[in-house]
This record gives sequence, C-alpha cells and structure tokens, in this order.
Amino acid sequence: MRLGTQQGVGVVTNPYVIPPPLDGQPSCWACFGLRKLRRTYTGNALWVRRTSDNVEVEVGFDSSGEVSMDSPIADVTEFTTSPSSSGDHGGTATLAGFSSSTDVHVVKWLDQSGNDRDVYNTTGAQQPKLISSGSFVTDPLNFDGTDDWFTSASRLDNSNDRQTVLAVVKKDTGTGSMGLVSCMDNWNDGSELNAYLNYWIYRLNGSDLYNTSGGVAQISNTSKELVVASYTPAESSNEQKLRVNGSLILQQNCTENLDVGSKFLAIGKRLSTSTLYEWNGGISEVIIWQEALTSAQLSYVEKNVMDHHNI
Amino acid sequence: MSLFLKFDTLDGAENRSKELWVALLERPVSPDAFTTSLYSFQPASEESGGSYLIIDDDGDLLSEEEKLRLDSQETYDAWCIANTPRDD
Repeated sequence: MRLGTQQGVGVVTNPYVIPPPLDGQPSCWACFGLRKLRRTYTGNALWVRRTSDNVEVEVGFDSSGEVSMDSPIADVTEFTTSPSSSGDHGGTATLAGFSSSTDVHVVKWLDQSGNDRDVYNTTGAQQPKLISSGSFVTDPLNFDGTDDWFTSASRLDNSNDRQTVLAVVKKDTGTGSMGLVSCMDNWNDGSELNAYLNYWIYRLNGSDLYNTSGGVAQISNTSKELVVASYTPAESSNEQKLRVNGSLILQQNCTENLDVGSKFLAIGKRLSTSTLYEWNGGISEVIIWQEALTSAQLSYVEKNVMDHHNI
Repeated sequence: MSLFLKFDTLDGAENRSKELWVALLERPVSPDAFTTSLYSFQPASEESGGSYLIIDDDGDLLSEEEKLRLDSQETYDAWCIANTPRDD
C-alpha cells in the first residue's frame, strides 16, 4: 500500500505519476513529506521506531518516490561508525518486514530541502504514529492531540520577513488551539499557523489573520486540506494571506517584522515551551519558504499537492 | 486519561522519564538510538515551579511511592495555568 492518493496503482514504469512539487520551484527553507518533494533529494524520508522492541531505522522512498510498505529501510548509522551495532531489524529490507504487526512511530521527519533542518522528538510518548498494528494509520503522520509533536534545532531568519508556509493536513475533531507549524518566541513574537476553535489562524508577531464567523476559514474534520499562509511585505496592502485548497480565504494588511527570538521550528504544537496546544489529526506534508512565491509558482505547487493528495 | 507526577526541580521529570525509558528497554539506550525518554515532561517557567511527568499509560513502571502521589488532570491544569505560558 502506498500513502497518499495513488493507493492501489502499484509500481509504475514512470517513477513519478505526479512529479515532486518543488522541481523547478524556488528553494525552500525546509520541507517534509511522505513522498519525494525534490527529485534531486537523495536522502531518506523518515527515522522510525517500532514499539515491539524499540529498534530505530531510517525509511527511504519506494521506486515511485513514496513512503510505502515497499520502502527500503536502513540501520541508523548517523551516530556510529559501526552500522551493525545500531540494532537488529531481523534482516528485513522493507518497511513491511520491519513493522510486521507492530506499531511504528516517527522519531525524525527528515528535511528534504538540503538544509538539514530535520524535525524530531526524543520522547517516545510524543512521537507521531505512522503504522498501527502493521498497517498505515489513516492520514499519516498521526498526531494524537495529547502530546505528539516535533521540535528542531532550526529557527527562521529574523532578517527576512518573507514567508510562505504550506501544509497538508486532516484535522480531527476538537475546538481547542492546535499548533500546526510554528516558530515563536512568545505569543506575540514569531510566526504560527494553527487551528483555533476549529478555524484557521495565521499569526505573525501578533498580527492575527482569522475569521471565526461565516465559515470561510472553518477547518474540515472529514477531509484533507491544503492550507497556505503567506506574508509578502513587498506588497502595498493585504500582505498577510491564508489560502485553503487553492483558494484565497482571508487577507489583511500587515507590516510586522518577524521576530522568532531564540525559539525553534515546531510542527504539531504552538509553543515549544508548553505541553499544551498539540495538533490532533494527520500532517502529511509541510513546506516552508522564507520567500514570497509568485502567483504562478504558488499555483503550480498547490495544484501538484492537491493532485497528489486528491484534494 | 493521563496521570501526572510532580517533581520539585525543573529537570526532575525529564530525568525520571529517561530512567523509565531505560527500564522499559531493559537494556542501555543504544548509542545510535534517538529516543531517550519515555513520557512527556513539562518544566515550569521558574525554578520554584518544579516539573511534571505526564503518564499516558497505566504507569506500570512507576514505583509504588510514585503511584501513591500521582496527581489528577485538574491539579495539573491548575499548575499549568500558574507555571507555564498560556494564550487561548
């Protein structure tokens, strides 16, 4: 089984039915996915842990450029010169063999941008789930809404206010505040895209773009959504925008300067210093640019992502 | 329903979470492994607030003494309001 929309298609001659979305597009600051997002990316997709014996391995892409049960796995060798000491995965060469009938959690979501901005969690209880009892969870990666999230050792560059944040999610029910992508020093400094009362909100240094009436920014609890938050300070008005499934839903004037302080990027939580506000549901893809994409560039990426995820 | 265990120091909950991970593994943590702790932990903003270990299972690995002093969700929520940043 392959993740995303092409389940059942199987391995095809053309390795990419839908090409990686970032080919030919502006370089991103960081990007995470369950498919190859750049054709030239040569690394793996994930670092995972199975719960039966807590062995950790890296997971690559299958021949179609996706994470699937056919994905190759490799011993974790990042911290050792002796690969054979990194754990015994029983000679299994694919994710299917490694996972068997156990649960598999994601330890690290590997950055495909080439900038080494991996996101991770070193606490077992906080690692999102990829596989449950040997089968992929619905809408992976699944964040449990209680304590699952990723942190990082990277922060956005305060000297560059431009940004575009894209995410593919399927939010489960719940009306509390749930962080999706954030890099915040405190509630009024930094950037965050999150759910508030089941509505999208994009906050940039306390400039809050949201609308909890009328339903235009209401989040689906039944379908995957593509959400894009962007800040384009070079524009003369409506610099701050929110788009869902390829359509502009909210915009407003904003003249803020990004100030993330010393805090790091987080995925699945609003503020890295609190155990509150974790995402509840699936997060499948996250792409972050510290750039303002042109309309044509953004349209291309949005169409690619929606085609791939059947949005 | 999670259970909550209070520690007097900022790093008390984190250190106990790491001990419990080793106890679960029943072996030392592999030098290659990235996972180093079992449960979530929440330090307070100030030293005097201590920290909390958040137990999201039945807590079998806890000592009997620890099981006797587990706090409720309500107690933990009140501690969070007083000791961690919030913004609804």
